[in-house]
Amino acid sequence: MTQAFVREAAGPPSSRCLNLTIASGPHNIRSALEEITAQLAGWGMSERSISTAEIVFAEVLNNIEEHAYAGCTGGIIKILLCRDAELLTCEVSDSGAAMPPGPLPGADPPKLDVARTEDLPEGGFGWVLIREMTTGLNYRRIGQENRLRFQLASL
Amino acid sequence: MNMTYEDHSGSGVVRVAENQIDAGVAIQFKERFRELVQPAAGDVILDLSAVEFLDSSGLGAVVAARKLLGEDRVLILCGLQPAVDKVMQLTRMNTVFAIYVDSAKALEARGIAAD
Repeated sequence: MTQAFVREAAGPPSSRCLNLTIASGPHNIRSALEEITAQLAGWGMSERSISTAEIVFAEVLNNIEEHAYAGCTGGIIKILLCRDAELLTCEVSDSGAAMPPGPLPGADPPKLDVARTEDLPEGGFGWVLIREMTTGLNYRRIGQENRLRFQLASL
Repeated sequence: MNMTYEDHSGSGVVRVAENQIDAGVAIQFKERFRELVQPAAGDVILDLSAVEFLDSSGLGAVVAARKLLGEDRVLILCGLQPAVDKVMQLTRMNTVFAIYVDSAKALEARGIAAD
């Protein structure tokens, strides 16, 4: 039986890492976000940086569940965060469907200056947020796995 | 989804009494919003002061709420916490909605005294 939630914190104080393995599903994603924010608070990150990290991970994990795993629960997601003095380096992997070829979404934010209220976009914001709040955003398909890397401010 | 509706001289204040509007509750948010605003006819002030976390799904739900009101009614936002405000700014949704610090200010701007 797949473990729903596995957590390890490791590494010397100067370079701290958190390793989480979860099965996709809204409850587990919420729990992962709580684990992550608790760990970041434990490492002394500012509220502001923690809240940025929470939004980014929410978007990344929801994308994996909705698109890589096509809404099926139980798909494995591996999360690694390592903190040094300036940056939180993050890596999220899954073995779901690959991203479509081409650049990552979100380069063109959804158009808001629409003529009619009913034309306002309700989606397409997730990648805009990820791009705006991270640096070093990088996606690779390695064998049967997706690997997304990005960095967040660690102060 | 804990949300309430209060009438203030024809403008409604919808208060969200949850601390998150995310992928898990976006549908309930939309449904509850629809239930609350359908019996009324005026503009709606959405009070998000209890909401600490709003992701892109939550944002989509707020836009859906705006659309539910139709062309003749306006959705105004108030009480944005810093994390929610950041999401509004980064997506430029702050250009779509009028945003006030609280419901009293939003009502005052419409010439209504909050009780």
